[in-house]
Order: sequence, then C-alpha cells, then structure tokens
Amino acid sequence: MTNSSVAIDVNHLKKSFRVRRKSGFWKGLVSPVYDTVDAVRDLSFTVQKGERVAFVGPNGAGKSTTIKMLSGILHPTSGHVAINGFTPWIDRKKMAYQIGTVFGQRSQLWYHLPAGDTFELLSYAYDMDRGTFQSRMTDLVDKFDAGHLIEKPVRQLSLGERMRCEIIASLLHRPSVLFLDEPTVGLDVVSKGVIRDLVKAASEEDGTTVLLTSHDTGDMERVCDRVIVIDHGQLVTDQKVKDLRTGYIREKIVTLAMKAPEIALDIAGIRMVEKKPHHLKLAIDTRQISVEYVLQTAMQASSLDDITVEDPPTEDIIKAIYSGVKSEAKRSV
Amino acid sequence: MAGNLRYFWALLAMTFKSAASQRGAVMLRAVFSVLTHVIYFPVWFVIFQYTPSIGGWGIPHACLAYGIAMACWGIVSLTAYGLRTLPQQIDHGELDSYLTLPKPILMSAALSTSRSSGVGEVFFGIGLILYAGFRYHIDLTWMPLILVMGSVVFASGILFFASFGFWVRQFFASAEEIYFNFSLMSSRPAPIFTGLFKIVSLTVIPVGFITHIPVAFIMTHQVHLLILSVVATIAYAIFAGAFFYMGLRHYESGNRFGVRG
Repeated sequence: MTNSSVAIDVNHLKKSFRVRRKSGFWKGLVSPVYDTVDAVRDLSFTVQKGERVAFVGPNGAGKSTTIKMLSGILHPTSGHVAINGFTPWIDRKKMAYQIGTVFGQRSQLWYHLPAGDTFELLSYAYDMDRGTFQSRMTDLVDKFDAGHLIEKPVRQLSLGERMRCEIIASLLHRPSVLFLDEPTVGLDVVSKGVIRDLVKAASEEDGTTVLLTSHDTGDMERVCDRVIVIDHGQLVTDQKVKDLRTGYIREKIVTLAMKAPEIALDIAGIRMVEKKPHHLKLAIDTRQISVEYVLQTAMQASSLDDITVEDPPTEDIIKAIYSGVKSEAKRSV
Repeated sequence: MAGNLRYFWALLAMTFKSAASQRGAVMLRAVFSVLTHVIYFPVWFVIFQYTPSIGGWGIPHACLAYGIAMACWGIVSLTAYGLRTLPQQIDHGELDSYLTLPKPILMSAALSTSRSSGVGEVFFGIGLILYAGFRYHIDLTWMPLILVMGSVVFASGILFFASFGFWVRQFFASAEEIYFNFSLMSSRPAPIFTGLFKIVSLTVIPVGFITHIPVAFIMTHQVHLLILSVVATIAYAIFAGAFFYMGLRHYESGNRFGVRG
C-alpha cells in the first residue's frame, strides 16, 4: 500500500554493474570475463512530501546511481522504488510529469539558443497549455531574477546564471519531486548561495520534495532538513541535519586569547590544536570534560581577553561519518 | 498522440532555429555543399558519354539516383542529424535527460541536432531530379513519396548502425564511415552491384530501397517495385527502431561505460 504522505519510498534497492575485466585485446574479444560491482546495496529510506533531503557520500558511494534509478534512467538489479506511487522504470512516462531533474554536470538547455526557447520546448514536452506555461514562466523568472538571462543564448551565460535557468527549466511543470544531482558543482561562493536560497524558497512555496546530492556540505546545511549519508552503496546514517552535530560531534573547539604568554592545561579530554604566545586553540572532548570546567581552569591560570567556542565544521562531521569512525573514536586516538 | 505531435513540431522548429542561429556558417556550408556536388556530378556525364549504358542505366537514371540520394541525405541531415550523433550522445550520457521526459526518447535524440549543409544537399538533389524530369521527360508524380521513403531508409540505416554505440565505446567515427557508404552506394548505378554487393545493398545497407528500386519504378512504372520499396522501408524502420530500443535497455541497465553515476 502506498502512503499518500510519502513522496519517495525506497525498499531494499540494489544495483550491480557488470564490468569487463581487463585482459589482452584478443582474449577480451573472444572470451571476455566480467566482474560484478555492487554500486547500491540494499538501500532503504522514505522521504515525506515536502521534505528536503541531502543525499551525501564520497565519490563512488552510489549517490548518482541511486538518483538515476529514482528518476527512471537506470533500472535496478532488485528492490522496490515508488515515487508518488509510481515505479520509475515501469511508469517512467507517467512519473516524468511529476518529477524535475537537474544534473549539475549536464545541461538540458540548448546551447546556441536563449533559455526561454528551451522553456517553451519543455512546455510542449510536458503538455502544458500556453496560458499556464506563460504565467508559470513569468512567475519563476521573477523569483529567480532571470528576466535578463532568458533572452541571451545559453553559451553567453556564466555557470551560475546557467544553473538558475536549469532550475527554472526543471520547475516549469510544477514537479512535486525535484532531483538535484550536484547542482552547485563548479560554482563560486556567491552563486552557490543564490542557488541554495532559490531552491529552498521554491520548495517551500510549492511544497516540492527535494532530493539533492552534493559533495558540498553547504548545500546540505542551507537547503535541507534531513541528511542521508551513504557509502559503498549502503546507508550509513539518516537523520535531521541539526541532529548531525549532536549525534556525531562530541567535540568543541575553544580558542583563548590570554594575558599570560602561556598556560598549562594538562587535563584529560583536551587536545591541543594550536599554540602561540597569548593564544591557544583546544579541541575539548565533551564526554570527558565540560567546556565550563576548561574555561574555569584557564581563567584561574590567567585572565582572558577573548573566548570563542565553536563546533567543528560540518565537513569534519561528514568526513568522520565517511570513515566510519564516530568523532569520539577519532578523538581517542 | 496529439501531445507527441506538438512536441515533434516544437522540437523540429527548435532544431532549425538552433542550426540557423549561426547564419553565416549555415550559408557557407550550404553553398559549399552544393559546390561539392556541382564539381563531382559532371563526372557521371563524362562516364556515360563513353559508356552510354551501364547494365541498362543511362544518364537519366544516374541523375535521378544521385538526386534522390542527395535530397534524402539532406533531409535526414536537416531534420534528424541527432541520429548520426547518437553514438556520441550515448557515450556522453546525454540520453539521461531524454529519459526523464514524458516523450519518446528516440524522437528527442533524433531531432536534437540539425546539420546546415543539408540545405545544400536538398537543393542540389531536388534540382537534379527536376533537371532530369524536364530534360528527359520523366514522370515525377511519385517522387515526393520516394523522397519520404528514401529518407526513412537513410534514417533507419543510420539508426541501426548508430545503435551499436550502446555496446561499443566511441563508435562515432566507425559509424560515420558506414553512413558514408550509404551515401556513396545509393548514388551509384544499381547494375554495378552484383552478387554479394547486391545482397548487401538490399539487406544490411539497404540503399537499393533508397534509389535503385525506386529509380527502376520511375523509369518502368512497374507497381510491384513500388510496393516492394514501401514494404521494405516499413520493415527496415521497424527493425532499426527495435534494435535501438534493445540498445536502450542495455543503456538503462547501466552496464556500459559512461552511463554510470
């Protein structure tokens, strides 16, 4: 039975590829030998309607393969997938009206023509009537501030501008599920920020479910509510983005600016990150010792000019997850 | 069906618009394409001056065959050049975006590109057919149907060979060599194809159904030749389409280089 509040339902999804083993020219031609590579292994998760989920993993983790199976491009080896109740590789055509896709490394825009022309072509692909198409395009172009972009040939657009047009193209037919595969790859910091904000705003406004793959943790933090981490085709963790810190990081970074040139803080649970005269940067294992205790000890040793307490960067959390070692284990080394 | 037809016209218009977006290049390619044939074709006049008949074919047959071959080749280049670039599209994973559209993949892939030199080929081909018609008093009533059928056979032949790209990496250059043979063989007099070559021209590279048999029909008005051409055209198109979809299944399996994510 399909739960009507579930947009994406993935059950025991598997994908294996046959890869030809390297051998001599004639041997390979006459009797090729194949190896099986498991790209996705028994993956299961669900995404509720309107959720924005980051699908994160290192290179070769199986992210793009999974997205391709969910969007009907690849057929799985086994398992079940339902996108709004449709099985992608069986109901590909029906499902296509309900999904939008953006592949950051591939363009759906016609290179020599203005993006507006591609939008018009897509309106025919999705059987939109002229009135609906015009009002939707005007609405999206306004929201994405792309009025000046859609008249220029795509070849004259910057990567960031092109990506804005790519996302408009994918949203034209009001898909209820949007698959974004590395949408910010190659973009500068400003363009990344713009794209993230626009995707989030568009999703919030239309209630679009978003499944986003990225290597950039900024995409995850700025756009998504939830993160699914996979590695070697298997689920590593599935949780709220905000819980990722508390779940995986038991370490705080404390920076002290001191009156005294140096102080001795020989306490278990403290790791020295950086040491300079009048300056200390410490990593504190909050399981073994509280930040408050460390600060009190430091203040007893010297008066302090400044204190900064930070979480480690999200990238470090993801790295810890990838390596299969939680931060506490990492710290104990 | 109506939706597919609207998409077809929109896609065709888009392809032409894209090709025409570089006007200077379009004009030049068209002009050079015509020039190439204007320079090349007179060779046949010289040959037929010394050998007035090659297995019953004279200069009127040669004009018709060359004209039909070039016009059909031009029509396919103009409207469905994407078929010729199919091996590249496969290698680069460009079919992915067509697979996420609710429209036929083959249509999207075939009409994704247009080659502007096709304008020159169509003009030259039709010009040569009209010249033959007026100069040698040939009835051209069936010519539109023959051009449509010839274009379908060309397109199907290209589709069939291009679809090997689903299994063979970087097949583009090899496929181009085969397409060249289509163009070459279809513009040559039918009687020079005997034995194995005749079998090839009616099966694997069915240029016989583009020019050889249609020209024989135009010159002799034997209806069975037209029926044979129609049936063969439909059969070959179905065969090529089925082969493409077989390849597409391989693409969807991901067991191919360049497809994996």
